[in-house]
Amino acid sequence: MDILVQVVISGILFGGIYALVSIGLTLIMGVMDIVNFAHGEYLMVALYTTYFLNQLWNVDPYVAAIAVIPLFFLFGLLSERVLIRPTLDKPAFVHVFVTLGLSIILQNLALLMFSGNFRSISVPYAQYSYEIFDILINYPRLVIFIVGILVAIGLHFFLHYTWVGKAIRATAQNKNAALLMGINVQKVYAITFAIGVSLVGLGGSLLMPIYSVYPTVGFQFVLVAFVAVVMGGLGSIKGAVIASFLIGLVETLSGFFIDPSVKQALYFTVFIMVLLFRPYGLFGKKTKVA
Amino acid sequence: MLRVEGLYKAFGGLRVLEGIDFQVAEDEIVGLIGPNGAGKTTLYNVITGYYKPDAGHVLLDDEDITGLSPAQVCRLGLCRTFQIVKPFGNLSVEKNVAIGSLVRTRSVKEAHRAAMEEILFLGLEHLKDVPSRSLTLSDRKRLELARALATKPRFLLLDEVMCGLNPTEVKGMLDLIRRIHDRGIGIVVIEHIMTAVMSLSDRVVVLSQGKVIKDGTPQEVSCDPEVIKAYLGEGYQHAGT
Amino acid sequence: MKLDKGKIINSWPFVIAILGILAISKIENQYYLGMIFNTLLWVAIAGSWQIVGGYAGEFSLGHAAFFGIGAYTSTLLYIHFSVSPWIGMFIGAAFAGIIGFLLSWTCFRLRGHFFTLATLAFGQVVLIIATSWRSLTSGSEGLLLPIKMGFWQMSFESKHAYVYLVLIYAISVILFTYVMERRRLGYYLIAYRENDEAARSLGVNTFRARLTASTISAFFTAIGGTIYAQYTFFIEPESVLPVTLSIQAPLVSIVGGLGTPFGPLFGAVLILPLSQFLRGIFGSSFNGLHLIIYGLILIVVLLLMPSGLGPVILKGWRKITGAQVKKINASG
Repeated sequence: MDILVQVVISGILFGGIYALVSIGLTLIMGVMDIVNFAHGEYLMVALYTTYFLNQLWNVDPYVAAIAVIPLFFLFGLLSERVLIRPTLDKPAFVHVFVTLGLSIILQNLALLMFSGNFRSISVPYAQYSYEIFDILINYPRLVIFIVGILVAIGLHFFLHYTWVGKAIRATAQNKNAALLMGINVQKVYAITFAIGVSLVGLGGSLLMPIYSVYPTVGFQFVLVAFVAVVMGGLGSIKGAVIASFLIGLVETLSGFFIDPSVKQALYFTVFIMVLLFRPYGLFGKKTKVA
Repeated sequence: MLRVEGLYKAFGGLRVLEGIDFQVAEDEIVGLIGPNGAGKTTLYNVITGYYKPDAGHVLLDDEDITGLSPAQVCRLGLCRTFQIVKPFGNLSVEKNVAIGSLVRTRSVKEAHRAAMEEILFLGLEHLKDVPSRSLTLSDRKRLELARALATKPRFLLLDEVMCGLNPTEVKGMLDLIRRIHDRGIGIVVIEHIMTAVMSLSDRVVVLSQGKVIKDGTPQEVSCDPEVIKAYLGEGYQHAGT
Repeated sequence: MKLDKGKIINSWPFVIAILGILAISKIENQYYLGMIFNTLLWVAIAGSWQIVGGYAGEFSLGHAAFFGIGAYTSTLLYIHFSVSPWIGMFIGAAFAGIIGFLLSWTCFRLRGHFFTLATLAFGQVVLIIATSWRSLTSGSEGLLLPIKMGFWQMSFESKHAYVYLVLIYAISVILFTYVMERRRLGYYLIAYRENDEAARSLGVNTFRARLTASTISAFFTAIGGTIYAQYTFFIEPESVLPVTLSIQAPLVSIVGGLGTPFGPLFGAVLILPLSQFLRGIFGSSFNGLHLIIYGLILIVVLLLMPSGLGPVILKGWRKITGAQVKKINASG
């Protein structure tokens, strides 16, 4: 029984990383109405960035996060300007395949530069654990969990109580009405995309102490993030976070009870079911970015 | 005979149609008017199968067609146009119209032949190879008509085909609708240009807040105090009397 | 007379095609034969994909599933029941068709991105099933086909036979697409792609048209799976069911030109030899370089000429030949 509780806890904690990835994704999909297939590759780039900062200059991953967030904000602005903006007035498939193209390029660039090897760093606290009622709580996982929640709360306040946040929500509700209200929709899109990318960057840095980086690492994460976004209801940050923790839980539990490779098949099937029967997510009615 | 009996339709708490009854014969042009939000376009959407009514029936010659899909409704001879025109933008005018003809024939060759007849009828022959997205609004509206006619309808529901046209174009459109009517097609027009509706229609049905408040000849309708009230509000009536 | 001259000039692609086909028998270089095989296989896969992807505009990212279903069905029938791959090929294709039908029947109510995401998830589910159902598929160890040459076994000593086989496959797909585009089904699919509501108002049963198209699309894709399995004598989940296959099918179509029968031909001819050359030049020391170039081509084409390179090339050619026809007419 203890082991089960242990598994449940670490599953929920690990859900924090899915939350960081899917919050950004749900924001981008909800506001801009685009599917960002390169989202996982941003995570991969963040992992490599953190890895090399650590290997070359001995920068702690959590310190690296402080550099990665603004860096990725710029990275997000840049890719929005160059790749996403030109696709927005074209048929939907254009942005889908532009982001897929970007994903292919980034993956193979990583392969070309760093080879396909799994790389990981060793930090002393990777194995630190707090013991509460005989349950071990792993320190890096706890950090991921707490940051995930804080980011969700922070973003909620940002969207509801700042001018930019309100502009983002208005744009998500109705782009044309927002335009008429004098909101610079282009700017809103750029900021939204950049926020999404910087959150993934943050996730990468926090993940590095307990995970390996390799060129295709992003793909698995982005698939899970898509599942979380759809389950949580498109554009719903709360939904994405809850769904992420649920997935983290299901993943570790099923990994414990059944063949780990089957668990993926399981939640992709759940994903298709949700799409079909609850197109607005498990928890929501039709929401638009909240 | 196209007949609508006791149609109800609500979206969430918003009741849009509250028991609509009216009928149209093949030899009629019926104007459907009413203030914005009266439920005119929703009525079209229910009749042509885009929405299912909460209650009531749509009957075509006593055959109940309620709840059929738009495609099935079209096959039975009931076709509509859209207020905001929806051309197949990348296709030529001729292909646009041919898609309409394909309801009545499996053969693409035959469809194109039939399409050309409608294109000639509408006077679009000089544009037949032009991609429809590059047409002017007036020509797009004609294209919508040509496509609809190509399905060989018995009834045609037109949704603001004159909206956005200049006076000369409106005149052309009126003439065109009469010519379509002369082919034995029953016509319902939703229109905001009052003079146009009044001169065109044999009968006018006035919708307000989801109900038919008046059904009569143009003269009867234009003098009716209920109608004036619905359009201009209570105050106007008092001021007028 | 004038017309005839024009016709002669416009029949150049057929002349080149026939010369090309005759030339295949003269090629002995295994490397080039392999390249031709690959290119033609991708003409057919991308062509199959775009029956639903290009014409109906339903962007599936799960077509690897159908390819894999074709490969595994014929191979398993062959290994366990000695069913000739010729028959297995059609059984696999029919099976894939049924799966494609069911998938579309459930997923076509999803619009846009969500359809794409659902098919992506579906492709992954099939990949995982093939990997973990070891008793049936041997999992990631893969399946080795019995090496027994003969026509009935669809196993040939020379690569030429395979090239001709895949050539017939590619021509069938293009021919089907060409005819479909000129039939009611093609008109209906395009009408749906351009405007669903308007199509339905004109009596088009868009749902049925899309179902038909996706069933046929899955059917044709699966045939490629069988041919590939017979060509390599070995299949594993990573070779016949990878997500990269699901991505490359639309990629080739987009680069060549979506919604045109010859788009996949242009796309495959431009992309596949290029990638093989790049791999040949840079070898394993620059692993991934050809994919980077793929990605770049894809983005550039999408952003600068979203209707693909095929139409651009054709327009260029018409300009040249158009000028020639005029010259002939003027002088004649």
